[in-house]
Amino acid sequence: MDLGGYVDHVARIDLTTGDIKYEGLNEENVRKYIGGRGLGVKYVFDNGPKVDPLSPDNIICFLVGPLTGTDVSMSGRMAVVTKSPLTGTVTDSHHGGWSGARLKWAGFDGLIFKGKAEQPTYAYIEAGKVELKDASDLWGKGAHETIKILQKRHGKDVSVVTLGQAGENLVRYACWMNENDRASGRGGTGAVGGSKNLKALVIKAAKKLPKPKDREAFKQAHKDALKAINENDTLAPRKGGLSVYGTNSLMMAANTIGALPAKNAQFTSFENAFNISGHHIKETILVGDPTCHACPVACKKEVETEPGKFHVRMESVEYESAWAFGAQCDNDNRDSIPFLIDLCNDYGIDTIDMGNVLAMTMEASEKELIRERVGWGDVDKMVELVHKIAKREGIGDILANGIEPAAKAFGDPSIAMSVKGQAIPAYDPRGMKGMGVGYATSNRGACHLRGYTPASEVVGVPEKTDPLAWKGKGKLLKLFQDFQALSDSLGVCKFSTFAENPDHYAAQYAAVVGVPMDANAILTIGERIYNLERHYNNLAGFGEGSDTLPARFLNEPSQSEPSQGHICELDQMLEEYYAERGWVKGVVPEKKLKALQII
Amino acid sequence: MKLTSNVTVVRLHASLRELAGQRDIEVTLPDGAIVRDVLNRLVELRPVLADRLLDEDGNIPPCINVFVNGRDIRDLSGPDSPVMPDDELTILPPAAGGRA
Repeated sequence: MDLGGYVDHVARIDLTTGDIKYEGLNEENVRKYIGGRGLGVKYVFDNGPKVDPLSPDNIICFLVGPLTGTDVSMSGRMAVVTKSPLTGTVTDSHHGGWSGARLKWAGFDGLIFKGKAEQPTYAYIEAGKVELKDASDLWGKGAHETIKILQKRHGKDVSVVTLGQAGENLVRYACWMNENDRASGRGGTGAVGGSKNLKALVIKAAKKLPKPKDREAFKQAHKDALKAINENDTLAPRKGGLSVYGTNSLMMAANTIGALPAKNAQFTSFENAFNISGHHIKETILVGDPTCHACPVACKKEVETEPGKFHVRMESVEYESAWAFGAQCDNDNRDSIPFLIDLCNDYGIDTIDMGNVLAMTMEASEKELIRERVGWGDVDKMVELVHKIAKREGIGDILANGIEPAAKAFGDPSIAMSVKGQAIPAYDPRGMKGMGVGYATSNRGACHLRGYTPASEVVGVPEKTDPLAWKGKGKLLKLFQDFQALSDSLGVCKFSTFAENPDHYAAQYAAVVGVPMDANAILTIGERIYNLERHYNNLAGFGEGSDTLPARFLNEPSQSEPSQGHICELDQMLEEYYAERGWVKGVVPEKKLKALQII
Repeated sequence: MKLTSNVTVVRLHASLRELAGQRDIEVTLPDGAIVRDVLNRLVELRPVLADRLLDEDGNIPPCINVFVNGRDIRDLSGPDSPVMPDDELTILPPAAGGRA
């Protein structure tokens, strides 16, 4: 295969037999789905939609895109793609740092694991080879200690992507942790690793930037994209909101517009939001601004809390995590939040699902659905429950199965703030309408990152839309979903879309890969990826009626200005969205699959 | 223009608050005031904010987000949006969120 940006080398690892086979990339698939998320979805699709996610038959793919590890700005991303044990959909989750770039430099476009190892195992990756090693001594250890041991064993300059105990214990929202604090957080990919006795990946590689196919074209494309980043109000290094305050810059904006779910989304604003905001954190406990491969933005915000029971030094207090353990749990204890995030990072658990599970448990306790007393904002109880969930002890065993099964077990499924089994992020669809249809139609369950409409509804990119207006949001969402499927497939950070447009992506892809591309053509690839995911989910059993929201957002009006009195007009937005997609009640028809050359 | 006792609270966040030395500043306005009037009055009260809130042409720079009672003025009438007595203005830096 004569395409730039790729190594044309993938490892298929059968953990049951220990066999490792190496193969090149399928050029047709690469041209149609690019790499990273898109190519991963194709591998998962080809493995079949009916597979049990926690069985040896499921596959888990670690993939990079053609731009990962290159000179392209913000190109440090790795995709983890599998069938989710939390949702039953195809899922993909992504992390930054350096492991993505190192996987490329180590000579791989991807690793595909299947089967189940007899004993705990980790994969050592170097110079185009994968070696399976015994991880018995690592099993039962948290992510932080595992990384420390493996870096002592293999050198400080390796990237370690690992499970904590939650993945081993098949907590259905367990995740993979990279380099201590970067999570491929959503969808329970860590439980899939645990089901295979796969503890970690260790990636060793010296910096070896792939050469663009067209170096002159690349210089211009790279310059244009970097200029857009440097001049962007959100991304500009040391000036933009994301660079100065991190993602938690959004806390005050979401609260101001009445779109911050609070107390398990019973409310749409949180009185003490400032205490947990990026602004307050910057003023009080911020100690560093770490970054990822080739990123000038440096949105990670390292903090050190005050001495005491919640003392911790960690990165990074992301908006969604701060919200999940903060407003959603009615908790304004600033230092408890980094502590809880770090605890989840060590156990390898998604902070968004965890915060929601805790909030749901608090509401269940308040309604006396359970005997356990869990008060709103009771931070000590929150810490205790995180331990119990990770270890599946007591009530934690129920909560570890996911928010929907747990709420059902408690006798009131309506208190689960989730879609398709995955808990909501930090945007209330009554105050930010685009996120309502976004959660409902996300192919991996409730998610803000499939189509980030807040870019338009809050930031004003590509143009400002009113968060309280539903008209036009279906069309807007489709554009974001198609565009941002490209970020995940090219191997660049989604935050680049605040500054870059499809022309920037097409120009950089064309220069690196050496295939002519324009904005329309690359958006069609994004659309194809989104439709393949949906087709997989349709075949897995998700059909008419699957795209919905918790009843709270549809029936209980917001009580906070300026969204006061609003509900989420989901039916109207779905009608508009399906028409824009060419879908029939959430199902991709055959003619659409053919038009997109999926079948 | 007739001055009345109309008072609007301007709520500042982040570096603006640091510069101003306090979060909430009360601004007395004439009848029929608009957002631009509030910012001009605010700059009179706190000249240190001038470079941040208004560009050299007297416009609000895109890196500043202004809300009237939680409504982004870009969804209203921009700097010409009316401000009524007891309204609250919030001024924030740009924002974005995410965890993968």
